[in-house]
Amino acid sequence: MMEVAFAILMSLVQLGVFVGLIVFVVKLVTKKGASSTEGSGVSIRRFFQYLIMLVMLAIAAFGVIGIIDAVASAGSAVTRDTSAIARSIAFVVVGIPVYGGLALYTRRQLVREPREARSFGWLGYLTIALVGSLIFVMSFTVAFVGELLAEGNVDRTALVSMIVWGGVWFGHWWVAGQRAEESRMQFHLLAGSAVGLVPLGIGAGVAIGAALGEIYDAVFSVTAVDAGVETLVRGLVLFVIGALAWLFYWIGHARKTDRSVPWLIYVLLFGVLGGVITFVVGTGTLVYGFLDWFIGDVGSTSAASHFAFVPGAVAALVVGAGSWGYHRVVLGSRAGEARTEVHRVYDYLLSGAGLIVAASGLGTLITVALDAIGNATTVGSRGSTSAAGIMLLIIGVPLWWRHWSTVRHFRASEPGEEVASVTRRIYLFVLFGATSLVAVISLIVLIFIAVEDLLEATVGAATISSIAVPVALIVTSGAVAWYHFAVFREDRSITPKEVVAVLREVIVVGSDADIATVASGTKAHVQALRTAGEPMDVETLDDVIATLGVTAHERVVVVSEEGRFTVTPIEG
Amino acid sequence: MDRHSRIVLVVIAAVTVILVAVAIVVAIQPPPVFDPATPEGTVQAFYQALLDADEDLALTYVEEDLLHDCYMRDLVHVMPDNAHIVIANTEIDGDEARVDIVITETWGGGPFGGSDTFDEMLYMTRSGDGWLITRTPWPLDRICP
Repeated sequence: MMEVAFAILMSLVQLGVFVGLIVFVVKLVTKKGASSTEGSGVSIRRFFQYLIMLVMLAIAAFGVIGIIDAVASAGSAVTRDTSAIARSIAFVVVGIPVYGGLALYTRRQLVREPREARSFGWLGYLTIALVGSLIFVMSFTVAFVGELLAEGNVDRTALVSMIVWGGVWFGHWWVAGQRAEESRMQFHLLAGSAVGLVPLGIGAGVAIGAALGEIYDAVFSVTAVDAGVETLVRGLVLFVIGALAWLFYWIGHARKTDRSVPWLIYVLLFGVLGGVITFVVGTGTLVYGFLDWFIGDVGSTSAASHFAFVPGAVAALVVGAGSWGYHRVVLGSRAGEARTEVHRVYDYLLSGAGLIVAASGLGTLITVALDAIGNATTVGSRGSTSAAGIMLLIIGVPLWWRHWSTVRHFRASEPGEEVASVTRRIYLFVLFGATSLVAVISLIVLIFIAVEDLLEATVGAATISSIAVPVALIVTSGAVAWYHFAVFREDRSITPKEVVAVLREVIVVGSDADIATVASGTKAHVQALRTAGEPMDVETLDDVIATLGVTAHERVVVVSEEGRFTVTPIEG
Repeated sequence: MDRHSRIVLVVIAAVTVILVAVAIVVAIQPPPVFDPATPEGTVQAFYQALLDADEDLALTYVEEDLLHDCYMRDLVHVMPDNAHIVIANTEIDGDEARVDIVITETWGGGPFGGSDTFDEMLYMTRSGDGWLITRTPWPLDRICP
């Protein structure tokens, strides 16, 4: 467990360095936002300062865990382990003092320089430290409690790791409350919510599946030996730990924050789309299993054995529907409410998911039909494949139709707004582009097979079987591409009555309060220039130049208004 | 340096010194010696003999029948140099016993070398004043198919 944790942490650090470098370079190049008022030296200092702090934090934590573990196991060790102790001592001797020194330096920076608390480096450090330690606490808690309840064993290493990483999380949570603006910690709160939601869903699915499986086994006596109760216990442990984290992060904090882009990404991608995929998998497994019993896997096994998948499928269906339904409610009711881009993203996302599933079903059935015409030997039962195709159509078509109908309704009632929607354009372009590409590649494969068989004079029934898959792909993806191209052309025929300028950027020169007030009242990008002193009114340009020559500030803004000038010093 | 920073530095130094002192005390202490007449003592003697490269002595703790199909010429290479073994649990039922052990194998030099931790079980039967291992134990399972 410790080795896995260490490996995961090192991977996270590598990822953090990679992402940090990209963001760092982008910020240097674009020079956007508040940090643009600082020199690049400050950004480089922050990057290495917080990177070293993260590495030292991890090293110190692993060192402390190693020493406590060695002390706890000293009485039951049958051999000496000098290398593990040496490693722990090295980690503690270097990690704790270096981290402590850097933490003190950071604290001084945060007190002296208000921009430090808003910097990407500090917020990134807090986010990685909090989310990373949360993942470790949850993982070790699941391991410890699961082993204790399922096997009756006390996993000492997991217990020690849980306590140490819990301390790391708690310490950083406290510091974040003292030294970071809550509005700027939204990404961390959403990441924590996702870290809780995933084990919550998996744990619920495992526990429900195991409980239903036990009932199924008791009724039909299918399984001779299984780990049903242990699976149930471990699933419940995962569910409870995930639920605690999710309740704390999502219900307690993130849910109430602004509906920003990251907030919507969390709700739509993790909550809605994750729920839909789980629901579709569960429902699809059920439908496929029943169809397969009648047209595919006929009579090869007993009914009790064939339908043993039902508990797992029902569990996935329940968990998926729960996540989908809850996050749909979080997004809000549409009754009597103007259609927003959030509603559009929801509709187009589910419409696309349904379309992909339905197209896969259609393609599968066409393949089976052509394969049957070619009468070639196929791997697996043709009946089972047909059952899979029908299942995909049964699931995909209603999902697509339900949400595409909503889209069509608003396209008819509010054509201007719907057609101008960025979400709609992305949806149409992505579907048209991706399906066209699939169709073109399939066409190349089709021609290759046909020409090759022609040249070798082997055209026959086997050729039809060989071209079954590319033909199915051409038909389905071609139909999807053609339909969405037609929709796109229809959209283009609507000419906007008048071109209205859309506010894209606001530059605010003022205090933090002024900037926050303006930012809360507009959706446009707000570039903040914080004032560092009182503005000076200057009569002429010569006076402006004279003022600039004696100013004690590094950066000023000069505004010309009706022949007069205002020189405002800004931070940086 | 303000008073708060000085206090924090003193605490950091104290915690580091205490942890290192505890670690050194643990490191220089020899592992506890288990009674050779107990299952734990047999496990300790078996693995200590393998670590000391005294394979003949190690094999005296194992039932002879287990060794018939083993590649005995590989016996000298079978025990990793850096293996840490901890007894997790012992169950004795009359003349039968089971000892659960946790093994940590480390490889690669330096503090950033890799390691692997896994659980094994040793089954034993009472033999005279001591105990004899009755199922192929780790790491002999690597040379006894």
